[in-house]
Amino acid sequence: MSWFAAGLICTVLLAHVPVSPGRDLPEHQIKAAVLFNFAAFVSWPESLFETPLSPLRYCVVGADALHETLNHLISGERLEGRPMELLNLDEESSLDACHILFLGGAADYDKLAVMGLKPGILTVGDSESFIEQGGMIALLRKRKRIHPVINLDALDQSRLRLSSKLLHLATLVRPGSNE
Amino acid sequence: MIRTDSELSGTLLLNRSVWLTLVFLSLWQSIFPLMAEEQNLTADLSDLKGLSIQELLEVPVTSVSRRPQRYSDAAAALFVISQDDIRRSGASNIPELLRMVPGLQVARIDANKWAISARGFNGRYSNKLLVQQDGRTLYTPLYSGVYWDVQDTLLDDIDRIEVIRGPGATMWGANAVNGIINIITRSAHDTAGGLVKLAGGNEEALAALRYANAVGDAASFRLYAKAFERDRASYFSGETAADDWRDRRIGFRADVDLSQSDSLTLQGDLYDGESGASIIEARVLSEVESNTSGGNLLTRWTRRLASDAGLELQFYYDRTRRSNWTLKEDRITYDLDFQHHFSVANQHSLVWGFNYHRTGDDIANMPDAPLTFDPVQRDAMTYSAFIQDDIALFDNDLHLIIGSKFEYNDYTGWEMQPNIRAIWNLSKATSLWAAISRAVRTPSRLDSDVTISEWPVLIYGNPELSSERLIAYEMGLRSQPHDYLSVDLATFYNDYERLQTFEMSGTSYSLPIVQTLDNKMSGHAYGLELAANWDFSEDWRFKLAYAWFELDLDTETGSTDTVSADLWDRAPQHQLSLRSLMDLRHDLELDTSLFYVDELSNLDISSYLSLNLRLAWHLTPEMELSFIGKNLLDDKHPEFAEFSGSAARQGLVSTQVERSFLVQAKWRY
Repeated sequence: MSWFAAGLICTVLLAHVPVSPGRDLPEHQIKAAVLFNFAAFVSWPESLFETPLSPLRYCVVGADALHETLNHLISGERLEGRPMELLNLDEESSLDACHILFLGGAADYDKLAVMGLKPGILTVGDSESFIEQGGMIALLRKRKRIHPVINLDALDQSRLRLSSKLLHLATLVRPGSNE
Repeated sequence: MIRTDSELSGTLLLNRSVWLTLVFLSLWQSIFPLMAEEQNLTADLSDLKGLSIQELLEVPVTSVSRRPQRYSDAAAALFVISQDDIRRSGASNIPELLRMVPGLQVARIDANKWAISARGFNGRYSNKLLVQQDGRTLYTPLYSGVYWDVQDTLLDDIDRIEVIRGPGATMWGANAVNGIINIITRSAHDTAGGLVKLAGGNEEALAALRYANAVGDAASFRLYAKAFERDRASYFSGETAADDWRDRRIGFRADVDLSQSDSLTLQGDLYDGESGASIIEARVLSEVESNTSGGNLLTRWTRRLASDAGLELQFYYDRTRRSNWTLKEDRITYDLDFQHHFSVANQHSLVWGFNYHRTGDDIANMPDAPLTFDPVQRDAMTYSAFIQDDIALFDNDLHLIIGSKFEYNDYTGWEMQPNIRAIWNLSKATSLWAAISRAVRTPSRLDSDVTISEWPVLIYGNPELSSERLIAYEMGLRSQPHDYLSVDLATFYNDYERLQTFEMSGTSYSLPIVQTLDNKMSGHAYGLELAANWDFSEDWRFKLAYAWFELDLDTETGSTDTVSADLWDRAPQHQLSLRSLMDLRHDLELDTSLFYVDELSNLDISSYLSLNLRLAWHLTPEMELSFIGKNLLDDKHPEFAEFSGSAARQGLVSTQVERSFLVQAKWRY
């Protein structure tokens, strides 16, 4: 059984990596929970809130399932005294009221003109092209896990600050500079 | 007369059970009002809320392939064997794992052969159950059954085994008549690291290795190798038999994210084994051996189109070789499968697809063997398409599922297999489902082309056979009244037509007695299956499975068959399994399984009670040492026989299942 022996030897000779257990969860649920968590890692200029207790507003475009999960996650939740709110958007709604904006795969980036948004909005998407078009954070699927990619160029142009903890967990890119 | 009585009382019983269910349900509703609903939903999401961002980024996410479905949403009798169930069962092969499923009949014929079926019709050549591993069909078109001695993988790499009792022909195609078993292995992304497993005991020895790792950002692979040897069991007389078994296999799986929406899976296995058996011919007992080898290669591309839409394209190649005392078979199978699912107007979830399956064999007739095939080579082709719509009504509380498969095969031409299902969510914690479906079993290569010459009987296959037909009526209830208690109840009534029989041709007074296969039997089966989970505490969980089964088969007027009605009535009337999973300490597990299987009166096999124990000690998080005892209540007992005591014994000799002990060490690195 030469092929069997070869397989055995191959398997033994290879080195080592930690183990990861766990059950699979739907992608949109994980992304919604990540968005829910993001709020704690971002600081917005005070001027973006009417009062110290006015709500932190989420907006979700082009991702219905994520919208629904996020709605459940944030209901009744507060961050530093601010209640969390998920806006129900329609075609005509302005995105200027949002603090965290998620643009799903079904959103039309051109129409939304990511670049033209108010600089205080944290823009989150789920594709590489989202970053190329000036989005700040992309939640990408990498080997079955969600992995954040942060666009430092877009972040520099905004009035937002991200905590170093989040920056450590993410891949940082500067699509503007040609390396 | 007696039969009529039991038939009548059986029908009454069934009616009574349906009524009881309804009464039970209405009571349930008044006792547990809708409050349970919200608790349940927020419970799931608060789990998610409790995770830190680091933890969230480590949770594997389901990549959309086939329509993702929650267990509680299935309008079918579904049971899922989880990774945890597999690990804590102490089982060393797939058939042993299946014993925990209510409504499956699992009986060992000898140390390397099993009779496995769902909802009756059990035997070594059970032919109404579809078994798949990662989308690859495991049953052989030779007799529409499964050679269980070559179906294996590293059990630690199995993600789950989904078992559906009842027809699944609309989605899965012909031969998914009484049930479907889907063995699903873990994605290579989820098995990072190495695993060494060594086990040894008085009945078996096993060695297995796995190594998995990531390649770059987007790809992962794994390799495994496994070999085992099983000892000889003993005949019913107590003497040592010749059913020893050795098997070696290697395999791999690679998963690659081609883009954010495309992923590719490539996997394959190679195996080689020898399994022994004893046969009796003209009162002479002889020891024989089956030599099996084969391999397969599968590739699957999935594209996610939206959160509720996706495509899947799959191709596989499979080759099996088997030579034993009756035949030498070489088979090559190609299969191409496409599926597309999407939603329309937030109300319709549609799935459609097509399949092309081609299988070619070369069967060499062994000298002096009773079986011959004509032609010796045959290519058979099946192509099919299906469509199914899941319609959400009343704010998602009621789902109506309608669909059909249209299939063309070389033996019987076009077959249509429709089903209609409904699931009604009475509350978030309780749902009720019902289904009516039609399924067929198309004739196998054996049914069509065989000649069996076992003096004084000569049996001819029949290329003109029609498909065996089933119309199944099913109903079930699933409820989780508390976090710590869940109940899953299923009842069914199966109406069979055109079941296969052996019909006399010529006169019965001259020898040989010549018989030809025909479709002259009908009948019905009914029963009830219950699965319940009770978490006594976080550290001590109980799992119960019970099945009650009745079968009545009758040959049509004009039929000369006197054996088939008894031949297929070989399933126990009652089966019970009770498992207890206990964490004695954070590093110590004690698991107990108790099985009761009722007598098989047509085979003179008496009822038995068996007990398995597993004590596992996690020396470190990476190292597990376990002590496993199986069939502890008696020295040995028989589970199945090919013939009843009075019949002339000719052919395979069954053996008994013996008490066994096993020590197993697992090391992850």
